[in-house]
Amino acid sequence: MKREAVQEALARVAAAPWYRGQMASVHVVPARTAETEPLPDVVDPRVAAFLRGRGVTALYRHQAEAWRHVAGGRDVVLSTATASGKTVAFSLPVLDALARDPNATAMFLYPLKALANDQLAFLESADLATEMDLAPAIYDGDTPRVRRPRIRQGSRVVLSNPYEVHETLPYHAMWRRFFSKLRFVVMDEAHRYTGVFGSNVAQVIRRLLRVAEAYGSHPRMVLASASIANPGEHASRLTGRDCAVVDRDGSASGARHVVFFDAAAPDAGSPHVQTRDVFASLVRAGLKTLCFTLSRRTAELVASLAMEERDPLPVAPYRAGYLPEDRRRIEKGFRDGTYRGIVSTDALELGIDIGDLDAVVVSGYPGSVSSFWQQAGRAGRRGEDAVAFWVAFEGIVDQYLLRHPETLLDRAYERATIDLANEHILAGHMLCAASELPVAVPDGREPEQSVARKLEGAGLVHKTDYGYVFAAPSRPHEAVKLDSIGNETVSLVDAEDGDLLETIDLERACREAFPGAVYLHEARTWVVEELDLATRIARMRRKDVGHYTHALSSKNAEIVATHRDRPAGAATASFGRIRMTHRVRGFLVKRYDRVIGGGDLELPERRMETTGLWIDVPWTVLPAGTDAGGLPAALGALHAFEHALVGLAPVAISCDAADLAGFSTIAAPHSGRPAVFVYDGHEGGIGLAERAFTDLPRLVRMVRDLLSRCGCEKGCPACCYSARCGNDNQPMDKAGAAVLAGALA
Amino acid sequence: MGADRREEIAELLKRRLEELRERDAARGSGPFGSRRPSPSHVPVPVPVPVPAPFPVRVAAHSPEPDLADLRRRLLERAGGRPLRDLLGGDEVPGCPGLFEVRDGAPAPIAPRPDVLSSLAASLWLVPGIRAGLAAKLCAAGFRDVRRLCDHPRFGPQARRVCRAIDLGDPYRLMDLLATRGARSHPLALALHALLDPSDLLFLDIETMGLFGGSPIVVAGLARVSGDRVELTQLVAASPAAEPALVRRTADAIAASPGLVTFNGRSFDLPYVGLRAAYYGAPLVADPVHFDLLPHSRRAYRGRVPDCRLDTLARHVLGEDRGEDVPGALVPLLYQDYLAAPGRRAGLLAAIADHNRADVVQMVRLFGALAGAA
Repeated sequence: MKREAVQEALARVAAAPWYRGQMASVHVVPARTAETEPLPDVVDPRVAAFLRGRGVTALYRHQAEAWRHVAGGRDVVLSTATASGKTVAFSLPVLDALARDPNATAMFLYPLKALANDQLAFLESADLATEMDLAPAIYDGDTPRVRRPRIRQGSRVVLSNPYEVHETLPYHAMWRRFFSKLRFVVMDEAHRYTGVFGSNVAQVIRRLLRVAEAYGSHPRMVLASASIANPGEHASRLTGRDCAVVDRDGSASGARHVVFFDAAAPDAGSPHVQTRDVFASLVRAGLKTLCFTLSRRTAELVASLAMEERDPLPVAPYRAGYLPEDRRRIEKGFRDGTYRGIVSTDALELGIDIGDLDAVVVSGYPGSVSSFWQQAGRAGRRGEDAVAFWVAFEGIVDQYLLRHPETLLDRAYERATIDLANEHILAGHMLCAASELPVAVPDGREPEQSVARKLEGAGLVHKTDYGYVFAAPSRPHEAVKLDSIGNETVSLVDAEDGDLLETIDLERACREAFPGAVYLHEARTWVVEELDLATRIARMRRKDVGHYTHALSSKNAEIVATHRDRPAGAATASFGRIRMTHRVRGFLVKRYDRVIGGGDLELPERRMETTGLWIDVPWTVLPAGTDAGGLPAALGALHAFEHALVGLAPVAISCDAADLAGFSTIAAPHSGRPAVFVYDGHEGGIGLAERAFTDLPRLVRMVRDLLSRCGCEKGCPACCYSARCGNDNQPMDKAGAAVLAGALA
Repeated sequence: MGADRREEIAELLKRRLEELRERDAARGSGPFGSRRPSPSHVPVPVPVPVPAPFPVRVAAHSPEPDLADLRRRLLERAGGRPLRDLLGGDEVPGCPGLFEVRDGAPAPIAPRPDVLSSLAASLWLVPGIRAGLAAKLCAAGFRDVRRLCDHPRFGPQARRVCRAIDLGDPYRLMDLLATRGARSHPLALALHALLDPSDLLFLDIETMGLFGGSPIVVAGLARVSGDRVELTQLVAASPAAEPALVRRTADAIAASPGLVTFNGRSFDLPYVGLRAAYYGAPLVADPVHFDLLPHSRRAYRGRVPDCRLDTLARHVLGEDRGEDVPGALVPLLYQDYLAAPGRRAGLLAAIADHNRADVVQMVRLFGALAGAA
């Protein structure tokens, strides 16, 4: 669309009767012209013809660079934006190699299924056009058993995911043909392999490459990722290889107008209704609009609100849970104009071809800058302007980003984290590896040697001339989950029919699924009837209720070992291993913000050893005396500071909000004095608190700015309230925390 | 990270694996059918005369019989004797930890039917002809496949079938039967008659787990010689001996034109294949495979409470094993043995005994089934 059309659309919004001044700022990301090179001559003619048939007559600079690196024998990581032609970039060298060697094979890995389907379609059309007998196929949990032998014996291109690879590796004998000639392993959406999941996948990849090696293959790794700050480091931690980085995007794009829209503005109403309003306004202006929401239920809600209007709009909801034929129908309708708007969860974020969009509405913060851009970046026909509305909710991170748009606008803002040192993860995967091929640990290699010896001591592996051999009943692969560390999970089950709804870890279950708790599953409320810790099952029933529940818990932190320390303004910050104990002791029942009831709970104390940072805070920078409630005033300041620190960390260090936790006290066990702890919420730690420690000065400055600029009186969800607080956000002293932050910066 | 912490991690994993094992044990009846006695079953008439009436063992209803009790009895029986004595076999020179035990037992000779004639008379072998049509063709005078060779519609296919029959190659004929969906047809078993009795390898393995990632602990290999079965058992006194065990087993399979197992298509053969690949020497052999489980199901369904080998032995052969280690407990017992191999040799010996019983009864069952063909 033309620039004028964008201006018109914004003016329409501003003039709407529902508008309350929510548009906080508009930023224009400049257009970019394409940098291209001709298709290299050496590309196999069948592959070249296939590409030309798809309209690819030249290569963007980054596609050509990727090609050159692979041709030069290097592993590659491509870190460019959505819709920049990454598929062609990584498929080209693979298809070319497969054309030259009729026995060569390749594996494509995806973190989620939807993308695999798209890639399959692409490869099938390549197969048809080039007649290379690729027989591309998806091999994952949904692949019917009867088709599996054929794929194992005949497919040259296999698409799968890390979970399936994890489960299938012990059966490598059945994949002998495939592994013997494995030339490429392609990992798309590589930035999603971060945190606990990423750390586990990194070990799965190492196991995969080890098996390939045993069959004489040394496949090239080709990774494609959204823009992140550390593509090379991430790729090398994920794969164990030194990868060449290609991050200069040579594709064309029109100018993007990014509108920061504050749904927490006064008198503005429900953020979902506001989303509907913006979405409807854009669709009415004749713009083809895609709206992303955080949950499936919200997607349906917004869509139905849009269709309810007195002048119903041709829009449709869309989500991964729909049947494939429905999804195809909606996509087609969007392409041909039957639908002018679609409301979706991030299913569409993952690359489905729906034609070009004029506008995107991103409702809520999708959890990471790269996810935001994968959604917002969909808007824009080639070379033309596009508009993206970001609807910020209340909440520390959203409000921070609203006030610091440069964070969201810097695409390569995020760092992906992978921890290669967590010994839980190492031990679990070593056990799996030992059941795939004997594990030979080089002398002196730590921590592998010690881990192996301990596994041997527990009778799980046996040392032989070949290496460590797995020697126990049952499959270790079932004991090692890729999404979590440690193995204590609780299944949330529908009390009505026994259906498994979700699996969450034990800690979270004690906090959110205690008997009587109101639990939110897919944006619907359920009431927990029973939590059986022996069988690890929580039974809950679907019920619409007017209240919500909030767990009350007590925590304590002991320091096991200090690894490092540094000054932090007037205080000292340290990093090391800590032991957290946590007990849920009761709960509150609340309606809106009012407490209407509560109860006690008898839940066991949970212990966890992990990594964390702590700040020893001197009394001098804390408020003196007692507060209105009779508690030491210092407590409120520490508490608010802790919340802000933990609340902002996901933005500062790029992690999931659930991966970090905090604790503050005026009498820490190790010192008897005030301290604030921030620690990894996963057994053994996964490097997040460490990163926060390294970045502490910046993080503290962000907290200082947030607290001092927030317009609230004593604290609010935008600056220091946390939905997870075990003390129901009491006591809370924002001003004291702002002073504290200033003294620590 | 401290040593204690690492130990905790290892123990956590161990506990989790035990939970999984218990869950699997509580869940399944496995491929052999229910452990519960069926309400009305009629004992199958026994083709081989029963020497004396054996007491019928009461089926255990609990999925996992008292392990501690069993352990105690087995160790008592062993009386602290060394493994070598208990097994009655020696360590293989050059393969420390690998014991070889040789033994023999009587086994009725399996009948050798005229399988080629029977095949020729089976019109349904021809693709396109099913039972109903076969009957009609037969009534119309096409009594065997040879007469169909000039048939306008089925000629070419019939000629192909005839060629296979004339070649008398059990491998091709088994393939043919498989494509006709008749892998567990008595004729498939009767194909053994095209092989020399000494060509058949009877195989049964005991493993530390079900999924192929755990070691094989005992491999029972047997051949018939006249009216006796000659059995060789390879026993791994430690996982370090497994590579040699696997190599010898794989070599034996590769050298045998025919293989007889009980549920070996799903379990024993793939398992040996996985272990061979685990040690870097993939198993490439592909003998004619006679798996007695599907044949047993077909022959005895509804007439036996389940198709476990010991159940079939009891009802079909009239043999009772008495005190025997249940196959499902082998992994646990071996794990227990490994924790103190010097003192617990009795556990491994009991596993070897169980394997011996399995192999011998499998050979005898083969005789019974082959006779029914």
